[in-house]
Amino acid sequence: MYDQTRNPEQYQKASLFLMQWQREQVLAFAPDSASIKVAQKLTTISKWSAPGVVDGVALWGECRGGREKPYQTAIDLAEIAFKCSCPSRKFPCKHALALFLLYVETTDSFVEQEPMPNWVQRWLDGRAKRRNAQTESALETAPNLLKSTPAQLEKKTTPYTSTKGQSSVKTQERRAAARAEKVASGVDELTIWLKDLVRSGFIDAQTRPYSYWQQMAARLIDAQAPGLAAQVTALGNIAASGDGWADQLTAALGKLFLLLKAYQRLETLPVPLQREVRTLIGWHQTKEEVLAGEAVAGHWRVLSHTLEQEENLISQRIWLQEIDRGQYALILNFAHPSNRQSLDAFWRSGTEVEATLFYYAGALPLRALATDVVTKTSLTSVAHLLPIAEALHSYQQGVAQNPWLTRYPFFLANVIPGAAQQRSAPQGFIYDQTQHLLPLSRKAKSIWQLLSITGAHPAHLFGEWLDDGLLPLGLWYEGRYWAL
Amino acid sequence: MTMWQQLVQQGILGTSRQPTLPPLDPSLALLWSQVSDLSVENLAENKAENKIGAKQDGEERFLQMAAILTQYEVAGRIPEALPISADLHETKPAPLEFVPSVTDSAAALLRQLIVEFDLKLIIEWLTYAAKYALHLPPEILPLLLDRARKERALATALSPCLGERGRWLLMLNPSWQSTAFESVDEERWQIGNAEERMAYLFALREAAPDRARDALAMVWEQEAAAERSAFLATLRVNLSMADGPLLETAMIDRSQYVRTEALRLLAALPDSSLRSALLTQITTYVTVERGWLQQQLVVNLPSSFTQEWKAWGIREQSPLGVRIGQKAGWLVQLVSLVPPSALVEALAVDAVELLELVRASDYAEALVTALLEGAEQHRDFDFLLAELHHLLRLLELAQISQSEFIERFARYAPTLPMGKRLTLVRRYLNTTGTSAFGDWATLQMVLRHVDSLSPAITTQLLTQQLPTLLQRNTRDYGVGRTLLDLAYQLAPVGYSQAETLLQHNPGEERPDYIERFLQIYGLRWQMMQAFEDG
Repeated sequence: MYDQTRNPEQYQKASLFLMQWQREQVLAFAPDSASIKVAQKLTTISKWSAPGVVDGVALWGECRGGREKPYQTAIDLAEIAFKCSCPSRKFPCKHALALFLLYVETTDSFVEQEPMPNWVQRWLDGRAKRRNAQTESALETAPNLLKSTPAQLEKKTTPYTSTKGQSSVKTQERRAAARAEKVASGVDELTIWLKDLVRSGFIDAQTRPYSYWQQMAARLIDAQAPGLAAQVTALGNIAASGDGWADQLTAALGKLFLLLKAYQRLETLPVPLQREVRTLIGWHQTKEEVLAGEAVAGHWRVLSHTLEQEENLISQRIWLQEIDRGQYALILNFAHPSNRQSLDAFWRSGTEVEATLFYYAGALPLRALATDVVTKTSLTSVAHLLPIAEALHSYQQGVAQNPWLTRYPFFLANVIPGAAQQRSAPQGFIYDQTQHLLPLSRKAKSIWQLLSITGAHPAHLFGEWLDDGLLPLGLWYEGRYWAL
Repeated sequence: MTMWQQLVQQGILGTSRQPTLPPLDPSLALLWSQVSDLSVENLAENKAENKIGAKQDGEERFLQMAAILTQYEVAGRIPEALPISADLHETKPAPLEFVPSVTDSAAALLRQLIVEFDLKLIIEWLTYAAKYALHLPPEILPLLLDRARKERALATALSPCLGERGRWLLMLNPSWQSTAFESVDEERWQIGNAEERMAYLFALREAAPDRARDALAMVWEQEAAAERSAFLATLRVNLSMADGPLLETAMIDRSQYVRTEALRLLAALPDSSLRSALLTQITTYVTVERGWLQQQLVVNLPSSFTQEWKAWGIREQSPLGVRIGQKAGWLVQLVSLVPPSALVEALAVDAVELLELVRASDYAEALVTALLEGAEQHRDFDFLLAELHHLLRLLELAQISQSEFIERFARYAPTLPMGKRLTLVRRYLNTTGTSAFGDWATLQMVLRHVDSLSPAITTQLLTQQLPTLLQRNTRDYGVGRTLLDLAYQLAPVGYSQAETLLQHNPGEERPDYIERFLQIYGLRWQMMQAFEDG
């Protein structure tokens, strides 16, 4: 059992997930490839003394290192967390990774042992205590949030609101008003900056140093509009991106301008679109807020699990599809490359899970939090497939609800991949039985894998529709799901 | 030019340089009004006066049009239909596979090897797949084909396991065809460095000897002496009388190195006139006299130096460095020019007999040296093998030291077939018992010249040699390196013996090199099982 909201009552089901730990999943925790290499040297049972496990709860061992006293390493199996007494600054350290790998590869070497050693028990108790405090705080806040309007939500996003007095509420209101004022001035400043950029021309902007974009982004951070800051940074990246940059920059400027206009008229927009705009500007929806929304329980296909790294941020994207209704959901997590603990290692493409999801509010809700996740089986079938023309139409309907929609799930029926040799790299494309064609995105690296697996025979292809084409992420072919 | 293209052009130049906005399509007027500050009523009023966006500045109008057109493009996109161009057309499907795929466990193991990309282990995996006539999992093919572009050994190992799917992929992607899977690449000959050109010639010589010779003849005059000599040596592959004319040309080359190489190649040709001339001269001075019970080698030294010998590169004053007289030196140089097998035939003896007769002669040391040099030059491995077996006999009789044998083995091994090398190693181990290798470096010297060790040698090493070496000097610098080599070379079947040998007390730390040895050796054992069980 895995729960993004860390509910301690769900521990007893954790072993259902545990039985399915794979080496690749453990390696996904590694902060870098060097850690994997050094950890592998420690993946022999002889390196460890007193290894033990309580199935679904914790795993521990003592590893003899360079010091007289062995390093004590433990892993919380209920909601993955690592502890080690070594001085490493990497997280998880090589000992924790090695212990986990060793457990996955030679589970029999670990003796089921209760009670656990004191040092393990103390650590788990401390974690449980902190977790309970957070859960109680969330539960106190969540019921009040259920009936809140988006405007009221701003005041209620901190857990202290319900426990503090009226003065605290006033403080919150003052803070919210101050932030709104700051954002409004940030939006005005950005509008002027964009106009300057357009006046002097893109060619001029292209020759500007990186700091030109970063300075504006920094001012937007100061204005408490981190979403806008990220979009300005993205403009700078587009200007330096090569082929097609001017078209992309024009489109990105257009979308950004539309967002600024929308924010200036926020009160006139439908409530879901207001949430969307606020999120894009940089208002964060807390877990408590999200959990206050409608619960969507069901069986879900895990269609993709990808990690993307940009500078110092790793984004984890997991696409789910509800089995009966075909409804999509995106689980999105972020982490710093040196500490991947906030990423979920449980999801495996091509499996079916039972889970309750809570969608983030927005014009076209796709992002969600998952709770009560239990893996059931590998996928035995796929459904809710669309031909290319219908998928594109569905995306266009999505754009009508959310004009800033950038990545949209496509599950295409019976498409055939093809590759045309261009000067620099092969141009990948797919076509369906009605001979409709879609290009693959420049980000797509899997055209040869697609061709190799299918042999250019029809297959059902899952992917994300991006601005420049489809990014293939999974494939159903010959009764099996392939992660790409 | 479309509305969008005009807009992008304006954006590139800037509104200060190009203030005029492209005319707005009337169908977009409503959308414009929704985004602009103008109300629909105002819009109608402004439209009538043809002043759409008149209250806005040029920059705002640009941004607004970018916003509208971007949405318009996205919302109005319809899928294109095949064929769009000559490039974008239907792909011919891959043919069905005729051979089975590897088992799931073997495929999982390959994925694990690819994570670390241990090329040796991947090649071993592919060798198993080829042995059992299995094809690769299709999802792994592109990755390995990519890597094979740079790793010729990988390409060679991959080739038999491509299956129908792999061969079909090669047809689709020319970049995979150009280097690794095509045995020869003309471009490398034209613009490559000396090493690449040598590799090209060797490969071409194996595939099409005549084409290789013609390619060399074509550039012969332009090449420097060092290249002429090196390229000429490639003719040893598939050498035939058809190479005679080019070799005759090389015999009168201005470079002594080229002449010497040409002479050796001509001497290696069984029907060449040079070889006949050399043998005629040698058998004038060296004969076998056969009596009732024994035979002996009779050596008559030449009386004078001839001009013909000079043309053959024989030096009048400078013998081979052994302490012999001038005339004996001429004879020794003559003998070293021919393949010993030719001399064996001419004297009607076998290799072992000839070596024994020479050793019993008055010029034993010099003539043995000459024969062995000839054997090395002409890759006459029978002769070298006979010498190594002779040395083993001496070792059994304690007349030479172990290091003397190892040194000679290391020198001749590159010429010997792998099976013969392993036979020699096995016999050496039987002869020397538990003290075959005084240190790790000596063992490594032997390992360098053998690849996969047989199960018998593996058992001997694991039960006799390694226990002694591990007890004797585990602090030796070479221990880690040698154990790593062994991890890749020992027969996988001996893994459990290795585990037993290296067993240690619980809690006691094992050195990293032992762990690494067991890890790699263990993977090879798993590999063997994955294929044999399948």
